[in-house]
Amino acid sequence: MNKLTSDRFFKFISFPLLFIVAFMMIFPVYILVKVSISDPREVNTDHPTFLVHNFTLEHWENIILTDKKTETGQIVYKINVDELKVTSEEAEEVVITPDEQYTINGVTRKLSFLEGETYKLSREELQKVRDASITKKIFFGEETIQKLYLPIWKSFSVATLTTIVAIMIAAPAAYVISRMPKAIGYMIILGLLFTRMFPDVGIALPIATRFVSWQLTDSTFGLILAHLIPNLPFLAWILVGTFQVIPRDVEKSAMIDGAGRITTLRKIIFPIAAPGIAVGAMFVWLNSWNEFLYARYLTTIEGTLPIKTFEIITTGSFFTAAAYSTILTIPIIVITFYLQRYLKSGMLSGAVK
Amino acid sequence: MRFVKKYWLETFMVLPLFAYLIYFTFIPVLQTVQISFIDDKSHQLSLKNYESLFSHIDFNSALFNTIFITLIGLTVQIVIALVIALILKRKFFGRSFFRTIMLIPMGVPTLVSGVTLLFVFGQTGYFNELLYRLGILSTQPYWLGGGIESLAVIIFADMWKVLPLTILLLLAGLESIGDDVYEASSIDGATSWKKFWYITLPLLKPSITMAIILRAIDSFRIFELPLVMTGKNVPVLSTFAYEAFQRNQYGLSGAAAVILLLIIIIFILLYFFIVERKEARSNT
Repeated sequence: MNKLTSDRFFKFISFPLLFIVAFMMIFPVYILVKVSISDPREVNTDHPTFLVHNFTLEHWENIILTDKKTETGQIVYKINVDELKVTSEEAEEVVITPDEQYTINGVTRKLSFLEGETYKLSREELQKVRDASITKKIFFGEETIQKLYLPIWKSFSVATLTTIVAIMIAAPAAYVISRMPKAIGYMIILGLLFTRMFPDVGIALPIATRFVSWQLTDSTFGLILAHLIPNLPFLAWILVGTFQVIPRDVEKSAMIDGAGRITTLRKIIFPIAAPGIAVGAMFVWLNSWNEFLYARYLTTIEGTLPIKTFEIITTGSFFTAAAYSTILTIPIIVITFYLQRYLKSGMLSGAVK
Repeated sequence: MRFVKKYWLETFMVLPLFAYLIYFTFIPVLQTVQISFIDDKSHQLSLKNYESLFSHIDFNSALFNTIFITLIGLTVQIVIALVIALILKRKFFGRSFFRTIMLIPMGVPTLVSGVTLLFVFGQTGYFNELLYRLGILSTQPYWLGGGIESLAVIIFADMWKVLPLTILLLLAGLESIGDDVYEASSIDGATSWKKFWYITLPLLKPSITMAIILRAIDSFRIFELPLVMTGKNVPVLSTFAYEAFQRNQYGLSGAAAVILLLIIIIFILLYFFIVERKEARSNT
């Protein structure tokens, strides 16, 4: 009897709960994709729709195709009536003529003219502007086009090179640590774990000033050096575990067969550890691909993809930001689902960002 | 010298890693401490940065916000993750489907989750629309303008992002508890609630402690979510240090980073004494 009631309780309570949490987990991802493929009118209103009614690839084309993009990635409007008068929240009278171009930010309720003035409008007034608005597109020049692919390329090259360098430095060191006496090895592993927990803002501040004097800001090389800071201890920490699993007898028997120490490492140990190294490398690649803080400290002009996404979101063009975010997310979703079985508890701290 | 001769290869192999960590991590941390004690204008040793730090209104709210986000956020996260892990531990139809769904946020970069939740919690966002359609609200409150509601949104965003990992960790802990313990208690006539309270929770305590401490360290360093979602409306320690850096107030930025470092060192020590000590003891 007791068991029965508890089972029933389990069913009635836990399933709705599970559904609610599952919904919570999916909903934002759905919204992200939805915003990136829906008509601006569906999103930039007071009552956005939950389903995609007018499917459009406009925002994706804006990013991928080169000749269909507005200058700052925002949708620029002009009015389709002769004159429109609205009152801002500071009670200023704003007169819009058909010659003027402006952008609308639906979230902060701001109307910004391309010439520079920005007004905050009440909801009713903003609706008036929206009703009278038609889209106006500005086309891009060659130079700006290159700036769009640059962040993706920069992110990709930084992440890849960081991964390669990290393996070259961390893998041999991790092997040696794994063969150290237990007590010392344990202390070093803990040290590596704690190094990763230091606040990045504390490390980035002197690094940024140092890199300014070395003229490494904005450079790919500088960013690689910076990305190695959190990733080296992380990778070394994972790899120590990988090497510890390989029995010492393997190398001893290789030595007895006459192989030198370096040959043993190169031909026996590292090939056995290769799958583990690959997993660690993927984590490093992801961390670097996503890295935001160091990139932000060390960037003035040429940003990586996360920096670019952040810049776009601060200018308020949500659709482009949604499309950029989706590009940023795709490799991560793919690799994460592959990697989930390799997750260790200690990775809870700062493993996948 | 004999040591180096015998272990030259090993030395050569570990040296780059330690050299890098010393030069690019430990020395910078010490430099930050040094910068925090140097006055930006007179370039002399002083406590001026700390004085202006603690009288800075933004810093005080940043400190409060960071601690609030960590305390409340962690409590909510652990409770929800525990409940979900308990449900997912049972065998039922569609279990693996739900397990996969729960992992989705893990594949979304923190920055992107900030961007996405901006769409959801914006003034004309989907959360307000949901409330409107459900007939709960007809006005459109602005959730990200600062205050307690913005903190709640950031806590939600942080939870959304890390819930998968917390669930995985607790689930691993739950699955390591043998069935025989439960069977024995069933024979003794224990109810489900009693089983949870007297068996599951005590046996799960190590996993929970570890999750709390590791999450706390990450939560204190929270940076992207407040920066993207609320900008200057909700300062936290990291964003405060970053903003100060951007205004070229290196001393102030350093001082804020040192405070953050101190908090984290406390939690590292906690981790060391509570989690690792216990593991070391159980290993021997």
